[in-house]
Amino acid sequence: MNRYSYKKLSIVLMSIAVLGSVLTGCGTSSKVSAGTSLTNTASASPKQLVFYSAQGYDDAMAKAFQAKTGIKVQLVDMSTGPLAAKIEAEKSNSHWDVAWFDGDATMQALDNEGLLMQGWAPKDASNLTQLGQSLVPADKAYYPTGVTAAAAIGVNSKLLPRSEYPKDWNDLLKPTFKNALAMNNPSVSGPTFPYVAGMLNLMGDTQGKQFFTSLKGNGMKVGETNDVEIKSLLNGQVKAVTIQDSALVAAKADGNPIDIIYPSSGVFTLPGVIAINKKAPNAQTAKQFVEFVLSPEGQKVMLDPKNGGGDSYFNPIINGVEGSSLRQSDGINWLKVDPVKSAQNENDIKKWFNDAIIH
Amino acid sequence: MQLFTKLKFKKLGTSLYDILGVAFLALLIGYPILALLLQIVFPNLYSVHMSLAPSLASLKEVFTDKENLNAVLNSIFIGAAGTLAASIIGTLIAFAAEEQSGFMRSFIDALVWLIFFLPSYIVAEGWVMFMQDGGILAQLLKLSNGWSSWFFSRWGVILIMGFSYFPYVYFSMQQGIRNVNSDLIKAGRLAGGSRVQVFRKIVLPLLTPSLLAGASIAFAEAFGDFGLPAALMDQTQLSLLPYQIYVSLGQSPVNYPAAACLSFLVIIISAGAILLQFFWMRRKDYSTVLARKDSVNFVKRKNLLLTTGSFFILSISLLVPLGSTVIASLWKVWANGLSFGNWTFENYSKALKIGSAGVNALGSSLEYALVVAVLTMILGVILAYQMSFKKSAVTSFLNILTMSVIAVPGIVLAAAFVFAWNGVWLIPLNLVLYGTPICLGLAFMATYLPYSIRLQLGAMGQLPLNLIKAARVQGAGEIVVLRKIILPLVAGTAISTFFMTFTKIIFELPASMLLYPPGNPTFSVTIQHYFSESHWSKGSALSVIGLVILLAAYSLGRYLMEHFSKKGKGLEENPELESAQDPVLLSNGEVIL
Repeated sequence: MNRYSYKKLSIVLMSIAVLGSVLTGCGTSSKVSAGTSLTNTASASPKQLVFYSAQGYDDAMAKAFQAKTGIKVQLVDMSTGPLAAKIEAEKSNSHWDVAWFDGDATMQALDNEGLLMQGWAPKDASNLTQLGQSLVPADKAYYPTGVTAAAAIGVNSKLLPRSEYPKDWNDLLKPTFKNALAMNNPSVSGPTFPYVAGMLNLMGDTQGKQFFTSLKGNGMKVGETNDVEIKSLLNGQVKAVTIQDSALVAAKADGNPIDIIYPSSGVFTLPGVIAINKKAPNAQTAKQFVEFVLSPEGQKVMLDPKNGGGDSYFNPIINGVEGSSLRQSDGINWLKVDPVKSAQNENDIKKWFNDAIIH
Repeated sequence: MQLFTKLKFKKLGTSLYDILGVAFLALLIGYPILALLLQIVFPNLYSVHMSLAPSLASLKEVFTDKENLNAVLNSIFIGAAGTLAASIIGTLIAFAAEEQSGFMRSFIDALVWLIFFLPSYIVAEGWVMFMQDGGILAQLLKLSNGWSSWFFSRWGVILIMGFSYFPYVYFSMQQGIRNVNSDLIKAGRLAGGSRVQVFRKIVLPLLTPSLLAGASIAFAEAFGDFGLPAALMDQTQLSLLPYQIYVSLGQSPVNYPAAACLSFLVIIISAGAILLQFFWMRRKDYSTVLARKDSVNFVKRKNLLLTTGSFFILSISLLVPLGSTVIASLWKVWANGLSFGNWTFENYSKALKIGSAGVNALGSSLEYALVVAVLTMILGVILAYQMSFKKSAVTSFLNILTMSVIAVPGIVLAAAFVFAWNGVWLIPLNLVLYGTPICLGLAFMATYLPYSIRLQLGAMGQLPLNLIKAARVQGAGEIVVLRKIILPLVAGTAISTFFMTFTKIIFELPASMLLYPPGNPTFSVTIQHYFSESHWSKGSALSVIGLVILLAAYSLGRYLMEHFSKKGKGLEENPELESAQDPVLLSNGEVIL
């Protein structure tokens, strides 16, 4: 190329740049004012809702709510870890109205910092099942929208004979599962923390820690995400995994050879929880939205796997609402993990796991 | 770079432009980094009730934890070894491409770009699918379990880092090789040096600035990478610095002071790497651009071994991850693997049915990519020019700053943008940019401008000072020098940086995720949503569609460039007269004055 072509090229690129920045500039200038007014004078602006969520069905819920009420829903969707990081980072000047993700310990930590609206009860709160009621905190800062087991045992039905299926957690220490068991790292995978905390609750601190140390001694692998664990189960690298049950149901629903076992001594609740920002710019619409989520109409949207994928296979906690037929609904021994206590001990437990099991 | 001071460069003086450049970088990168690092000593700076009470607790916590020292050492080892692998592969392929001409050269170039297009999660997952027990290779060759345990270790990580980061070295070496002064090679040959000797003692040393420019990016990438080691290695084997940062972000409440402290460690080590580079380049002259016409190509004889080796490496780095992804996206049921009747296009039709939401997301990603890539390309040239020809303490500080941005994990940098542009002090000024497209655009620019600057620094390291002095003597101003001399000589690199930024933005995740304006997700956020909500096959299908779009954009860009260069030649009426006044870069990379 010679100087003429550079001249030409630079003219073309410059005009693209100018055009582009004019176009986006026009678009953004209006959005800037919208964004800043959002933080300052929201009451004057038309009805809208800024909705932070880590649920698979969040976009379907946003659309359904918008269709029903005409309120514009601005969704921010990401996984739970980054979502909590975002809420923490913006806490001095927060932008969100409603936050929704799995894990009451994480939500409790936000409540402990005084970031959540307390003492408000949605109109259908009495419709929650007994399990559901037990998951509402005393200060009413957040509400459960459904529950999954933080960990159940998933086995590869092609590779493991039925006679060798584990019945309870301690069966995982048997020689069958030597070098053939996998779980996630609680520091990286959100659902794993309530599993570890729950085991320490169930067995007692010392025995619980001994349980994980023995599993490690038996060659347990520690990974990062449900997806990785399911693949290694299906590929035959391990015979059993202990991960969130909804991920196991979803993989089974896809036609994969997986059987799910709920240990007899109990599984630990991992509720989906929804909360309203204490300084919500649109508090009124936020309340409307939470009530919609807890209504049978909203639950129906959540339970459709077309909307939520794996997240739709939760266990409903509202009277009269039925969960997916693919998941076991009876005979599960649910154990509540106290979120207040978990939130207090979370960093210590994760640090212990990191030092004793990971390294 | 010492060279410039040696040649009394200060005489070029500091102009208003330089101050503007420094101020711009300080605002774009320095301000967010500062907003993040301030928390090391003021942990409650961004609390609901802001407090300036200082505390050294997090510093103490980070520096007394033995695991952190261990992690730093491991990360330095992985970073250095990954850089070495990427440098060897990148150099080999750059030379192989330069030996070829016409179609073959473009073909190699296109393959390297295609490898560069692959998002990192595809590379990691693709290799895992291919190599693991019961994976694609094991299914094809009926290998027994445990055959690949050597791969799922730090050595595998280093190998894959070599395969995925070599394009940085390739891009910076490409321009460097074209600019090598053939007189020096001839002199070496005349003095009785063998081909190998000339290559080792003359060519390679002359390419040092280019090599270091590419290698420094590879080092920062490898050093700060969390995803690849996490996907490949069982955590029990090795603790790395980025992992420690993720652990502090995973605490609740999120421990930003600790993350800031660990990021500070990352910055110190990056600064060390840059200083090492300065030390390496001291007292040597690397200017290789010739100020007269010379069409001798120093690598005339084709080396069959080099060519075959390069194609072998290129096909492995491309086909394994891409092939595995495409195969998996066509599977009905994951567990059935490569079996008859397990194939379907359903995932693609599902992915294409995302409808208007997906189209909107792709549209906004393309818009961000185009605007930021153009600005990054232009600013890259200008700022690198200021940083390489006007050396001062400030510019070396900027040098370190740009390098640290590459090494600091993306999620931490994104959080830094939240702190910087959501500060309560901005409310009265009406400047809360967080939550607007401008904030995300700035974050993209802060993320990718350093790549552009680093590659341009490599290219400009070879430009002789005399070229600029001559222009200055004849009365050319700053802008004229930049436009008529510098730009033509680094145009190839500039175009590379354009495509590089464009591509990376389409698949960028951490900043997009944390900073996208509510209600307006980007393409990468949409892909991530599909991965987390459903299964791998659907997400893979969407990624493959994204890759096809990128490839189309790249081909279109290439076509347009060729088109314009042909037209330009037609317009040239009196080349002799023109070339008597301005330096002209010929297609073989040589320059005439």
